[in-house]
Amino acid sequence: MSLNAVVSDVESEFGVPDASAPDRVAALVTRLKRKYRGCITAEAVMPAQAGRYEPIPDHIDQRLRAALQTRGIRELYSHQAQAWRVLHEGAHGVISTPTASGKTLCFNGPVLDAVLQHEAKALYLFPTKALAQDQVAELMELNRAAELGVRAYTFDGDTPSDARQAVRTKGDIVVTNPDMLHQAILPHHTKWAQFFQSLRFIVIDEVHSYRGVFGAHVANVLRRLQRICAFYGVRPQYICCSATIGNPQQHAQALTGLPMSAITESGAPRGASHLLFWNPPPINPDLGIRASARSQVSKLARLTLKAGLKAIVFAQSRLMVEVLTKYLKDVFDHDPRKPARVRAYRGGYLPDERRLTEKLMRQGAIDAIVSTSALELGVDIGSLDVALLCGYPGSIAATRQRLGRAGRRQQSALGVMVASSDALDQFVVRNPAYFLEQSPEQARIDPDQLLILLDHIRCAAFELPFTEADRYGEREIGEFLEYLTEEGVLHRDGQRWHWIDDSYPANAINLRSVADGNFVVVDRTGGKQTIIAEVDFSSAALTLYEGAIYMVQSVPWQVEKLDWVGRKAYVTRTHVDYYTDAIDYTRLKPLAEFGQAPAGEGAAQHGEVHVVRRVTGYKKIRYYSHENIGYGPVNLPDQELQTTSVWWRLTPQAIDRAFRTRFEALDGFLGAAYALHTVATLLSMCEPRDLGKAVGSGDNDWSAQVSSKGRGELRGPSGEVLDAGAMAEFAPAVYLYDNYPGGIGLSRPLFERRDELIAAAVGLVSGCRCGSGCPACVGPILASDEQRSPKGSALRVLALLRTPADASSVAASGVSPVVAGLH
Amino acid sequence: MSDLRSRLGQLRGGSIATVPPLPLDPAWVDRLARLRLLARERQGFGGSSATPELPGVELAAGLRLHEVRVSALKLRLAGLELPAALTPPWDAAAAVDIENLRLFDTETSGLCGGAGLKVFLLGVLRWHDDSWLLRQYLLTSPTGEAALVDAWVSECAGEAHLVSYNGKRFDVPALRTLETLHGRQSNASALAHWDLLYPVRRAFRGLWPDCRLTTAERMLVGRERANDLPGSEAPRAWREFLATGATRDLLRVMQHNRADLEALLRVLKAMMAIPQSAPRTRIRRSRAA
Repeated sequence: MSLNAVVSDVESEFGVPDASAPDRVAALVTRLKRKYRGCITAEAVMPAQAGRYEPIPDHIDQRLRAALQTRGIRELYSHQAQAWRVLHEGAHGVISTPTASGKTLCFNGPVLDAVLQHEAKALYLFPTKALAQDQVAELMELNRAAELGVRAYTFDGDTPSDARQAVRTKGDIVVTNPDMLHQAILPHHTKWAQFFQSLRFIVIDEVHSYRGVFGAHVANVLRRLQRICAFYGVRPQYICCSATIGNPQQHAQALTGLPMSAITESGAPRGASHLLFWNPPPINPDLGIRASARSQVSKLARLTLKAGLKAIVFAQSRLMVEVLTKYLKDVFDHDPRKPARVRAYRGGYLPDERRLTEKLMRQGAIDAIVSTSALELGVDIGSLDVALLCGYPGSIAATRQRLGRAGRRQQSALGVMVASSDALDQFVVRNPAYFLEQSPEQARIDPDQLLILLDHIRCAAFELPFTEADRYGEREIGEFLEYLTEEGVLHRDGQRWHWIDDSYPANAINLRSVADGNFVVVDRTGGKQTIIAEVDFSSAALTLYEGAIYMVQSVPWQVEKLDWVGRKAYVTRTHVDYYTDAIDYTRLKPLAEFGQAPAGEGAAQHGEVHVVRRVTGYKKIRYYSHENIGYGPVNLPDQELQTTSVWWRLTPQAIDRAFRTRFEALDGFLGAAYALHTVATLLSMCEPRDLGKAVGSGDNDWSAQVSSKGRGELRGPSGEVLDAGAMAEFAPAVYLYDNYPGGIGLSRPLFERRDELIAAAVGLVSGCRCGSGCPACVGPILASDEQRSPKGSALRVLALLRTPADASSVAASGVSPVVAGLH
Repeated sequence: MSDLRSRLGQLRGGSIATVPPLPLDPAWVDRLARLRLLARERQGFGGSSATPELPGVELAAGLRLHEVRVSALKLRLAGLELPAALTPPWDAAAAVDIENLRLFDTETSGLCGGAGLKVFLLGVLRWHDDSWLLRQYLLTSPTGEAALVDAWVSECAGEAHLVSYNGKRFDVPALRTLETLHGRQSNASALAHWDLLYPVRRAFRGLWPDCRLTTAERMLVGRERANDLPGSEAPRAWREFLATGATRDLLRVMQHNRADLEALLRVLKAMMAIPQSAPRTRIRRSRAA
């Protein structure tokens, strides 16, 4: 939300609303409903809402009042006024209102006022450099409008070293990101002494994006920031902004460790919006196979553009962004002499490329933009009419955020959630009430995650010596300090622990990824070497193996050489009619058990596991037909991870009793894992990728996965295929694990809610209308396998894990809405 | 404690490849021990005197001061007299009283900068009562840091005129960080400061392999240091002292610091005679002459 937007809101209140576009959106909705009735499972209309206004407070600086007036702001939205009140009373506040509701003014107003009246200083934190730069550009415009003389600067990796001194000593508002705070500002806080001594406000935008591991890191950076503030004798006020999440107040409190007043009622006017739930038509109902979400989104985007409307398309992966962009470009950009109407946007593109796309969007020069979650955040790209979601984003909060990208003020907007054949998508599209009635997910962080905590205690000890009385966050940390003393980086001297090592600990800690080191993609076409993209460590193994087709703006390059140690992938421009997709598998071994409980004829356990993920090869997939046209081998180092997990196992006797063959049992375990993963994702309100699933022997002898032929297969420690029938003892276990080193606190609640989880999985599978299994319950099966019933096998495994008593207790205690929805 | 350690060990072991320690042949262990003993004897340290006493007096808890005088006679013999008022070619307007010069150099716990960098040795060389007075402030425990900062503040008092080698970019900012941490303020940043690195660079960049102080010393006065502890070893020596009380290498760091200050004095003297505007070829000839 930009200040300009606030201004144009106010202006359009007094001016003439643009009446032509809403008609076109409404016309498109009518047309879709007439022509594709069978695909639309639900429709929701959010009516237009009039704005609620309050006067600008009397106590504000007259210069600021004048500046606001020159920008056409004569009143505030009610939530802006509320924010102003909260801060005026000296409290900390979190503002959680929809996209484009003028959140920016909630903090810019009070901050500018304090800068003008009290020479206060403010620190703004944005999750990305782009957002920070947007923010400063906006502040500068306001500044110029009335010559306020307020100095707002960005401070990031691009700030030249000769300008840094000026930012530190002259900046009234310093706009940066958590990474810079962590690596450059806090460790050098003495250079910022002047700034800290006058620091009155800390603004943290997009707090909902600080969750999971990144969130835990940021919470610790903020703990360090508070230590530094205390050292300089200041207690700044915090202003947090969040997208709509279920627990903005609690999350902001967890992140900052401070009590927060929550402001959640938006007073901004809003145009009407239509939301359609779209399930692609079935191709084979028995197998649960439907037309792809990709083809449907591509069709909807064509209809949107032909109706003269602007669309944003969200895809679930970087690969899908490229594929969809190519399909749309094939239709709209086949004439190279004309400027492109379709552009892709995703992480991994170089900053200049992204800035260009943002600019073209704001100018209205592009008709469709295809993006990953990268555009979920508040990057200013102007207004759009239609948001198309290719697949359920995995959470209600992310879905709302994406849908919120469509909608011009005072005009109607359309959002379409197109389901893929994944279980989660199918669940949501068939149970639209889940989406429409549930409150959005809660953002969760665990700032006391052991490894993260230790990392930041290191940094904090570097920044200021710890004393015996010191706490860190809410924690006693004597034990950690002793550990670091034994390691030789701290020296205890009476009451104090001093940093004596010759290293700079913040350099070794990356807030965004656990394993350090991004890969750069180097184009060697024609002898020159040009960097065309950057890929983070965790996705490198899946996208940059030798032979992979790597795409930028849907132009294909082929990876010729991957330098794993040097973190470089060398590519050349190629012309092929296929793309590539990695095949990977996961092995798992329990290391320690934290808890155990009986589960039917088996047991449920919670503990620490060692996970090894290996990419074994890749598939070549032809455009449009999507047929598999070949395989290639991949030889990369294993990715290892130690984390927490919950798992279920049955005795070998129970398995051999219940199943005729071990293949059937294996099908059952793989299907049960699939269903458990789906319900666990819903229960823990996390994103599917945060939670891993695996089936294995539990002692690292073998692991099981669905092979490229759609059947379960066993592989030994070195990847060789094993025969289940030939094993003396066959005792598979189903694992769900936190997909981050050290865990992020998902497994324990799942273990505690194990009965509910099994019951919900039984409900999901037995309630599915397919024949013998489908992507909506136990995972896709192949046509030739219809005589098998993975669905039946999975139900049998789940029934064996279900304690008879719990069936009644769940029924008696009343199940959660999520579980109820699954039945 | 041991619980935390083992938890961390487990977590680490999973995500980071660890290199197992090399198995040591017992025969080798013996031989190494004998070699070490021999080397120690050769350097004049017996097995028991591995921790000789630190020189100087305790100035405050955690801070020692070691003072040494170098007499004027000795300096004259070494050809190291300076005029009573200095006007070097790079600062032609100045006439700095020799009594005001403060040649200084620090040894630190690392090179990375930031609030966690410790200055554990501050050496200051000044002209006093017709001789050069060397003062070395040594931090024997981080507790003494505030006293070290106070010492620095008083060394900078009055009409002091700083002379250093790369002090503008490294030593002064490191000391300023400490001043902020301890709520003190020296007037170091307001003082005139001859950082000899810059005139040396202007005159000799491209002619010498590098412009480090030891290089300048070698090229300008033809002096090679023997048995000098490399500056990069200093952080380790101090940490070892804090951990075990071993003073042997710490004394070598003090030697190194003193050698650096003497080198700074020699380079100052030599640079006084080298015109800054002169063509580079002439400089080379004049040095050869």
